[in-house]
Amino acid sequence: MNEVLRIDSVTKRFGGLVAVDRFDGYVKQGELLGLIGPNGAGKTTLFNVITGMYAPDEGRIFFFGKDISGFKPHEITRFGIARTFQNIRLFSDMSVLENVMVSQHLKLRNWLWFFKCIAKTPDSIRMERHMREEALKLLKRVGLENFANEKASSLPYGLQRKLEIARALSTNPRMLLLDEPAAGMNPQETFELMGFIKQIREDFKLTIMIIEHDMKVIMGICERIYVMDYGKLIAEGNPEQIQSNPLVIKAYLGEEVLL
Amino acid sequence: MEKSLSNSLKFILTLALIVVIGFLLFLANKRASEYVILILNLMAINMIFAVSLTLINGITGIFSLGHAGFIAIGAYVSTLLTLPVAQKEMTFLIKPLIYPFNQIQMPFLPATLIAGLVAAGFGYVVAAPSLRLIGDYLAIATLGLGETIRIIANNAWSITNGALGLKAIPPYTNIYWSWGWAFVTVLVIASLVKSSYGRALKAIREDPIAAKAMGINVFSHQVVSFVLGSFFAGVGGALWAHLITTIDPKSFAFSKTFEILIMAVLGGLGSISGAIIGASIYTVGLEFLRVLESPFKIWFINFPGIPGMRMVVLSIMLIVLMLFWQRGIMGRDELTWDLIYKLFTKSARRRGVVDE
Amino acid sequence: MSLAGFFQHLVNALSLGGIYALIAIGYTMVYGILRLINFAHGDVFTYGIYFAFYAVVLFLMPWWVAFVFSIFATAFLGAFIERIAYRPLRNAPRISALITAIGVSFFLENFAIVAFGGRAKSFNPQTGIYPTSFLNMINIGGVRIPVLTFITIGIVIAALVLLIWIVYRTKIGMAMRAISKDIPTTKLMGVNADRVVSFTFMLGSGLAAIGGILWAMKYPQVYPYTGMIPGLKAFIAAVVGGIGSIQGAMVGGFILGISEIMIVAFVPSLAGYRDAFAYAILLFVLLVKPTGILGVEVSEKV
Ligand SMILES: Nc1ncnc2c1ncn2[C@@H]1O[C@H](COP(=O)(O)OP(=O)(O)OP(=O)(O)O)[C@@H](O)[C@H]1O
Ligand SMILES: [Mg+2]
Repeated sequence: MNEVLRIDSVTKRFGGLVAVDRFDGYVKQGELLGLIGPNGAGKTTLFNVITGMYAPDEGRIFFFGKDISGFKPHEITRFGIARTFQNIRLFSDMSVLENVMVSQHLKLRNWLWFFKCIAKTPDSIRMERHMREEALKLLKRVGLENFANEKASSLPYGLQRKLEIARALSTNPRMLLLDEPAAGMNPQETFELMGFIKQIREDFKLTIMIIEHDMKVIMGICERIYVMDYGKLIAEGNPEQIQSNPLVIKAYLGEEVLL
Repeated sequence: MEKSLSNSLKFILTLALIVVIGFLLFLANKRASEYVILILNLMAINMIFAVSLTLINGITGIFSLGHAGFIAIGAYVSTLLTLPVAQKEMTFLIKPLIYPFNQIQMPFLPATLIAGLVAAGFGYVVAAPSLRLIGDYLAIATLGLGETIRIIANNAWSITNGALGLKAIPPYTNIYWSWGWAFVTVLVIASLVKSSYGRALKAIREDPIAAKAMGINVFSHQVVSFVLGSFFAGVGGALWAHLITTIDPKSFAFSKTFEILIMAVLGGLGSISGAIIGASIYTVGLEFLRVLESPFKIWFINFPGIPGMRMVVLSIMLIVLMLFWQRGIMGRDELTWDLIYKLFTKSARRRGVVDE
Repeated sequence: MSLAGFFQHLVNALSLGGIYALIAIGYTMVYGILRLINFAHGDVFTYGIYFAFYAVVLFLMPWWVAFVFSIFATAFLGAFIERIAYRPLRNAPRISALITAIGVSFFLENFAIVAFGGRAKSFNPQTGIYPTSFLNMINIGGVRIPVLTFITIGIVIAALVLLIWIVYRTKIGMAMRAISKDIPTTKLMGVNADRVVSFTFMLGSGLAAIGGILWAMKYPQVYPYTGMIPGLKAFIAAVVGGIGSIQGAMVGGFILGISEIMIVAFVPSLAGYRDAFAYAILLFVLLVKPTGILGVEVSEKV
């Protein structure tokens, strides 16, 4: 078994609230892992801990065997974990193309580039062209090339979600974390999204972890699912196992989610 | 699709524009009155201030209110380096000037460069702690630091000559220095903004959290932007000191930052060409507003000049600007050849001159 | 230093700190509700002094009537500023409101220069602005302290008690606290948010006027920039105490007043830096606990 990510007894508290409570888990190479649970279960917080937005209060996280807990978000992105956000966070005043090009910035590894960029040396111009080409390639890949020069905020909601994924892909990740990518999409868009996620996993050789409230998505594409409630891992298994797990049904009781 | 101009044409146009401006300045330097030359110098220096503030506030989104402090550092450092030794002895009566300043005198260019570097160094020292703060806290901390620099200037008699200030500064600043430096400032900052770093800085302004998630080291980018802005503020301070030839701590009060903020906001916070336009309009407009403070006559009644009236009008202008026209002249757009071309063809089409 | 000497510095520090606290409350309440740094607050303070001054000198009111008049006039000035300059920007980016506030501050200062003249006006009993008896000295253990110092401390305490009563025991105070938590929800509950915001500005500005008059009696003059330094320091006090927290503003005000007086008393050579000292405290507190002493930690939700 080739393990990409290991979450080792991670706890995150906000004041008295334990948002993530001794969570244990792992993600295998190439896997499409679902993370579900009722509102406020701590799913997004877990993503935030993995990506370094919050430091865990306890526990550790390993990425390809390397302890990444305590690293800064930008460092973790450079290690190869990219993400999207539950409430879309695009650079709204910048163009669609620029949004994706921003993620190419991490290619400029040292500050020598800073002076090269000011002086517009030949290799900085080459680099700029390369970034633009890469970004355009990605936009084509997600079908946004016709919007390249539009403002990101002018895109319809569904396309904004896609742009966020393109932007994450542009950091050249090995693992992708998607936080409710189908939120706000109509059934048709959701259906396309499912195919799209599977496709990018193949094309970019990704390992994907996905939070989603739309059970069609989760049951349709995930090979394995973690269920969280009150910060704790309460169930694990493939879609069939999860659908028949009484604990899961209990956690969701009162919520209008059909399993 | 909109037709746009080719790169080489744009390059030629830009070059032509620079040559034309250069020639006009050359003419002005030869023919214009001392007053006009003074205004032209001030205009260039204000451009340096406004563009460097735009880099920090408008592009990177760090709401800094400490610009006057870095201008002060540039002004004092450069003056201490260019003032003749004998003049220093005559000036520093209360406490003698410390070594090594009391023994050196150097030409303008190295003095200006050192002034910028010292300001940048201070910027670095200041940025590291204050950038840990966000939003309003940062604004207050930078305001406090700017004021602190001024208070230190007021008290460190053996360096700044305290409240008496420095006088008889050699009037080195001329059209070539001021416009030359303005050119360099705009070139460097625009070139930076039009690179991957510029995109990163704007991304930080738009959403620092998303910027982090895209692998950008937000903190170090903010520091670099702040330091570069401080460098040019220091350079501008040096030019300013050698233009007005006397400086004292009061010259660097918060109102200096306020003026620069007006220029940047007027031009459109976040646009370099906006800052340039804003600085030009402000400099010239301020001169026209002088009318308000000079004695005037309605019919046969003479009114005395009203000191302070200019600032009253300016502050009302800023408030009105913020209430009704937040975007300023350029918003966050840049005045590019493409934009001019687009505007031109659009208005031409509206008049039916160009048909497609 | 003798015990009596120390006592003298202490009452001085308390009266200065109390004035800072009165001003700081205005900053903190406005920030708590609108998340706006009201840069013009220090100038509102200045206008409080001018109102009192002209009420006596021009309108020949008895001093105590003039003082009450000034408190109300200043309160209305504060609410007026909010109505004209801040309310239209309530949903605009925060930086716009902040720049506007800076603009209002500059307007008030320069308008004062135009309207009242740039030169300082003397604010002392000789002009009949307050009774000469305020300057009588009380002898305590060998040191002489003016009555005014004790009056200042007394008024500050009375004003703070009144404020706490309003904020915690009246309906409008409750609405203020509710709004500072969450404007939209409070609106849904039928509270007229605009009125509460106006009231907050009135309350803060009234307190600033009290602080201003006490300040002017202590440093007996008024000029257009009178409020700048105390305003900045009071703002620092509000941040140090934890901006948004009324108790924090009080604590911050006293911390600033006490440390300022003590540093000058114990290290006289640093007297010139007394204004910079406040910034040093500010930076220190911000770096150690960015939300201030009594502020609550809020980590930004991602
Ligand atoms: N920065 C924060 N400060 C304080 N509390 C927080 C913070 N972030 C999250 N929480 C709290 O932690 C708990 C878990 O939140 P989280 O966003 O992780 O839930 P979630 O599972 O993603 O829910 P949803 O499905 O609604 O997105 C919630 O109670 C939330 O209010
Ligand atoms: Mg969530």
